[in-house]
Amino acid sequence: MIELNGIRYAWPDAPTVLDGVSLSVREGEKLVLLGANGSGKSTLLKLMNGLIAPQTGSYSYCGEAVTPARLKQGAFARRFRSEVVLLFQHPEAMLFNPTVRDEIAYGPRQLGLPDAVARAEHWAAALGLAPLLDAQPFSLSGGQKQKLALAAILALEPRLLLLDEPVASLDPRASGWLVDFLLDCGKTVVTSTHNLSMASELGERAFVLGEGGRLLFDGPLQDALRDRALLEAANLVHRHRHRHGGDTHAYMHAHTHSHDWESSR
Amino acid sequence: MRATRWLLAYLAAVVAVTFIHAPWLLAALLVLALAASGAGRWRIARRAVLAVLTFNLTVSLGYAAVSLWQGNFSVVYLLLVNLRVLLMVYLGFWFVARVNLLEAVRFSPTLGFVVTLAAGQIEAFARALRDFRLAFASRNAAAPALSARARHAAAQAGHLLDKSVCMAAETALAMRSRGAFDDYAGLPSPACVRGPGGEVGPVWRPRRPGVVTAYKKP
Repeated sequence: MIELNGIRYAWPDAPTVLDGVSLSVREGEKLVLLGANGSGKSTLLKLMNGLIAPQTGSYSYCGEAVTPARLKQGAFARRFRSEVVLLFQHPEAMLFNPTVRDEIAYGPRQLGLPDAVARAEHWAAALGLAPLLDAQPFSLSGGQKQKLALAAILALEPRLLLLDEPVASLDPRASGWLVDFLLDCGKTVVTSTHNLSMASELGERAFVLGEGGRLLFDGPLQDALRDRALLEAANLVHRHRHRHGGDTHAYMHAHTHSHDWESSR
Repeated sequence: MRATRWLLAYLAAVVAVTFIHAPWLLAALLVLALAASGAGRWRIARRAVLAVLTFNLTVSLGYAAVSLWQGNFSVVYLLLVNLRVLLMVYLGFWFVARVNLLEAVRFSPTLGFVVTLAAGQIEAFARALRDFRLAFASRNAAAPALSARARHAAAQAGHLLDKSVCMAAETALAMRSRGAFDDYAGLPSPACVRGPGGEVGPVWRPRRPGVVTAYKKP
């Protein structure tokens, strides 16, 4: 579905963020993009969404090259923008309509779909925003804004969802809901996170980005989570002291997820 | 010291430009500045033009409308105003591109704080603006309508205003917490509080009314 080859990218007046990144995403996969802060996760997602173009390397979507010139061609841009959507890390950046209903209906309306309002109401209900349909997006809480931004992109019924740290501003209940939703939605999903305790819930395959913007790992997520040297190189685990009663000791913490309440039964 | 001299030269140049009333001389100075600013001249020029475009267009159109109505329109004045603003902004961008501002204000710790805070705010705002622009591009499968652009611009302005107010409040609190404001000037010295058993408690400083501090009277 997606092919990236030898991607290099640097923001203006800044060091290289992505360096020689090559990867592919197949239809229906649930992928987790792991990396420490500043490793280039957000930049890679923006690149996959065609918002920025790599300085070197190539990017193709369903066999078609994605370039600034191609994205200026109406038909391709229309198809690409409705099939590949990105949930930004800070959802405020995505919200600009007067009501929640208009915000969700914006994309479908732009595509001229006759059922834009029905889609808005459906996705608002699915994400628990139905009582807020007439509210102003900027009056919502952080978690509600995140859900609204997600509803706005889901209303397009995309094929590929790119999610940038989607659980960062959600409370535990909303995070749990999002995990369940992503597993059941039947779409191709790439989720970025540096939270290893959530990672194992978000997909089966992992890309691990190192601090120099290089791809350190591409393979089964569980293998990545077990590879301490890899996690250490990616700055995803750290050594710190722990106290158990009167005993203090220090070791690496990977913070992988375990169901404490189940294991204690 | 070299950076400080550049700062003084820049300030002197800006003041001098305000005393020049001949458009041809301002144009010549602009060309001279372009020639002197080396390889990055077109990048600086582009930034300067983009920075003044909206302001200059609005002022020029306003001036043209009013002066034509009053019958005293002057092309020379129009040129003078536009060239002066462009030259001053160009000098500003050239100075910032050439000189490390923190180095230039090293003689004053207060100016150093101000420059550091401003640089931090500029960086945060630049990132927020970039995200808004990219998010808008991402959400538009077709060319957005003018009304959508206007709504987006308004949402962006509102968000940035909120952010600037929040950041200013946070920065002020952080500076106060780090002792940047002397809330206790002229007040009695700190007193140690002794507990019932004679133990020394936390230091209590009397507060000025209305001043919010981390200290609380025990």
